[in-house]
Amino acid sequence: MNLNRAVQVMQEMQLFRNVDPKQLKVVAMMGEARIYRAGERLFEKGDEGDAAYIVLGGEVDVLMPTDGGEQRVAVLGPGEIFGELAVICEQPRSTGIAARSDLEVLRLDRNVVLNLIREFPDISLELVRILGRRLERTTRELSQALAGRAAGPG
Amino acid sequence: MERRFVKFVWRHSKREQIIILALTVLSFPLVYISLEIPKIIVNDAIDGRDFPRVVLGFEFDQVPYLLLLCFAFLGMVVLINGVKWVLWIAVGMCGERMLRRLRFMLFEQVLRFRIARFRTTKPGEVIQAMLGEIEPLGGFIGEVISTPAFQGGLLCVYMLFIFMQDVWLGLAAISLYPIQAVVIPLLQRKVIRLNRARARNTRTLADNIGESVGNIPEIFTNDTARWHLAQLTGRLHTNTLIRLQLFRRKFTIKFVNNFLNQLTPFFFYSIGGYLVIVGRLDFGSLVAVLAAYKDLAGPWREVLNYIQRWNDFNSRYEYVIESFTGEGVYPPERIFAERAEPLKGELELSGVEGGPGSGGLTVSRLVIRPGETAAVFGGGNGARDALLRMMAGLIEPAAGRVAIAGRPLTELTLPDIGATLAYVGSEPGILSRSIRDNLVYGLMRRAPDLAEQSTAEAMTLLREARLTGNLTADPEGDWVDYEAAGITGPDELDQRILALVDRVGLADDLVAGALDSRIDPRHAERWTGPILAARAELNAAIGAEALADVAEPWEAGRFNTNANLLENVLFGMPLEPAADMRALARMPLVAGALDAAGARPELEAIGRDIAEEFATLVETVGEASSVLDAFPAYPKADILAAAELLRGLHGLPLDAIKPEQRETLLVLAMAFVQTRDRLDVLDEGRMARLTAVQGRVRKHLEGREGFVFFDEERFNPGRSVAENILNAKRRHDRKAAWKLLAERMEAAIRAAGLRDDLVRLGLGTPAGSGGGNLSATARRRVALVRALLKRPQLVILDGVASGGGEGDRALRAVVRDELPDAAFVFAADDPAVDDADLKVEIESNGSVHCETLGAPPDRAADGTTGRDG
Repeated sequence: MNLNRAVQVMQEMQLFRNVDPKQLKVVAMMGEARIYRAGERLFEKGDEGDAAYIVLGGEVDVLMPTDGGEQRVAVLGPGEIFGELAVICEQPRSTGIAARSDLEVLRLDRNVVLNLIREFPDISLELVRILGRRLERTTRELSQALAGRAAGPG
Repeated sequence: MERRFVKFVWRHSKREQIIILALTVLSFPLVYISLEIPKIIVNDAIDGRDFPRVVLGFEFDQVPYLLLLCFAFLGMVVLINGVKWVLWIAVGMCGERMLRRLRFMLFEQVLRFRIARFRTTKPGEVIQAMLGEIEPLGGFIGEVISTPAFQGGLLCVYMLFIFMQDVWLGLAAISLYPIQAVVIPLLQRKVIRLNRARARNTRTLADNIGESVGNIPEIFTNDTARWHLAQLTGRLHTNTLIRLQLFRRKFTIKFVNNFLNQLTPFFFYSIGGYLVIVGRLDFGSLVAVLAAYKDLAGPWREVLNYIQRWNDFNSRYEYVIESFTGEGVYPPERIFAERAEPLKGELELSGVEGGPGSGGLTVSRLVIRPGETAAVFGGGNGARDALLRMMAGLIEPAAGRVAIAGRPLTELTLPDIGATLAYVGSEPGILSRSIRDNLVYGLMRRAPDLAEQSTAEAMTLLREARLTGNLTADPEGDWVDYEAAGITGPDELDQRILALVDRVGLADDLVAGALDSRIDPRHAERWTGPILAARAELNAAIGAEALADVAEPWEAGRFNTNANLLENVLFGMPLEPAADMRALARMPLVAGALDAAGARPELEAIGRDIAEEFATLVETVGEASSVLDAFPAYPKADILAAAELLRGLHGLPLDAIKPEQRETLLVLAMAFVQTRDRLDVLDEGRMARLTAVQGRVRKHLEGREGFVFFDEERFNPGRSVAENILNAKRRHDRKAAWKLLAERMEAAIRAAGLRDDLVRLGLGTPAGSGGGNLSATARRRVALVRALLKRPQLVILDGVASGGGEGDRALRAVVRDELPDAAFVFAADDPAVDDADLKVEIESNGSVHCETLGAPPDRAADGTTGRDG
């Protein structure tokens, strides 16, 4: 996939909405375009978080191993980013990822992500917003769950 | 080794010295004649009367006589210089051979040093002493006898002449010689001392430099470059000071010499003049004596000069010899003893004390029998290392005895030791030769005698070796002692090496290295079959469709997005490998094809677009950004250069810019790979035009030697072995599947029977300086194979395969299996190690205890239990 097409996809993303297209091109240059076939695994839960991915085309399954086998917890499509949390927080992968269909991603190596944060403040701010929003959503879900349990039959 | 210079010279070069002297003497009458002929020409031929003259029965008129004499003169000139030519070569070669003999002797001496002496032997100093310090000796040795004979002879003739004129004047002429003969050596004694000091300082300097270069990692990580430079400055300054002192003494000697030489004429003029005036000396005699004295000065200066050099070189020689002889040198048999059979019997240490630096090592008694495995635990403070090295004869115990089959190690010769034991340390020595040579190194013990060869080259080598006391063995011959390895010849050795590298896990490294390497075009023919077989295997194993998912196949007339543009345009590669893209662009075959197909304008235009992208990139991120390191084919420097170039073009049309700039653009385009670099510089039109060029290139290159098209069933040595097998471009966007592809390729290589060839190819690659081309693990494995190949009776692993993990256990099992009858000792780093018969424990105070871990079958019967040390 050419850089310009990758840039087009990224321009639609919340994360990059305030970023200059020229800079987006740099992001695309620093990343590696990769293709996966349906069913191929990108990484497993517990793997080292060595890269973040942006979906350029196709979809991925976010998978969580449970006692009753692996459960799909989400599906991500074009313009969505995943794996960035493990990269920034230097944690192992919290979920597994598999290609749901033929998939095209931009792989951003750990170093690349850190460089982007350093060189483009707009991106880091946007990243903070995304993470903050995610935290806020998790907190809300948690409190709803707690409230539900409190209200529900003991 | 002769301790005195004169003895050394006379003993080893008396024949040459006599020949040189004879040639020198021979030249005397020739010189005399050549001086005589001009006189005859002037007095007899030009100025003479009463022609014709009779020469050898022929009559000559004046002009023919003149011509005859002139040609005779010319002939003499040629003859004299011919004799001199022979003489100079004889002098030069005599010196060179003696120098060679001396160097050989010195190095042989070093190889006979006792191990303890190496603690104080500095490599840099040895090199400086052997090479730099004695170099001037070579020039001097050839004239040791001829110069004093020649100049001394002249001096005697002149002196005789003076004495014949007048005894008193003769005595006056040489009256100051005794003073010069006493004063000058006195002055020179200091010069000799200074020369020694300078030599000593230069040796240290040489060692300091060697040490610094060897310690580059330390210098780089400790910021000590300036400190090392300061050390060098200090040494150089000492040299300067010594040189200044030397100059002062040397020129004082010269001053005194000149003064004394002029003092004699002073007496001649004053006393001789007075005697003439009072009528006690005849005027003619005084003039003759003055003239003779003038002639005397030349040879006398030469003689004095010779004496000075004589003293200097004697001292130089002795200084070098002193540093290479003395205590702590084994006798020559240590190296030159007959080829030995391995000693078979137990290794026994008794009453051993390690002495200083051995961590207090004491062993009252320790016996390891053939077939036993001993794991050595503990002794972290150097005691274990000392113990294992002692077993290998690399450290002599301060007290006690280390013996194999009842013979103390210190009394064994190198042939005995080499045949009997193998020692593998954690940092094994790797020679800067091929990996194969490094494996076979342990067997290089059978000196191939040059006398068995008949080539002219071998004969010269042999003759010179004999003339100089060097070794009469062929350095590049087959040194392998096949018998020691238990095999009959090279073919079996090859099989044995292949088996061993596989067993110790070195083969995978070799295959990986071989896959990425290129093959010598001279051997290309032989590779075509196996490579095509492996290619077919790979295709069959994966299937064309699945393969195309990982690697983009070559198809004539179709653009390959995973190949660079040059490959796309040429649809093939030259046989000759090139260092880089630019070299490839300049290769006549490639340049010619690009011209013939008219490919340059299109590629240059693409190159310009790439440069433009780079310029924008540099503008966006700045010149220091790490983003600029993100392009595998374009180093940061090239990206910056491309951006700079574009700024300089100011939108000029392509045909208006300089040829070297156009070349840069061309090279940028040639290296471009669409799926990897992803810059938007290729559209459908351009790709179509490039594919069209491909057809024209094919017409131009079809049938040419030195070029292989991608769809030919041929091996191309210009590409790596892996590329030849795959014959497709790995898809950059399918990196996730590359590992699987590599596994499939490995399987195909095996199936096609190519693996052994690749291992051999890997074996032929250079190990690099100090084994720099190999990983530390690979270096240790090389040393392990080296040890196994020679089938020792005792094998010692110190820091190799020392762990309790599966890999190390497997390696030890290989050693045990390969050498069932050998005593096997290894350092154990992990308390979990239990695959040994004996557990040798070194306490923290250095005392050694031994207990039986498990009884091997042959010892279970005799009921031996723990043998405490």
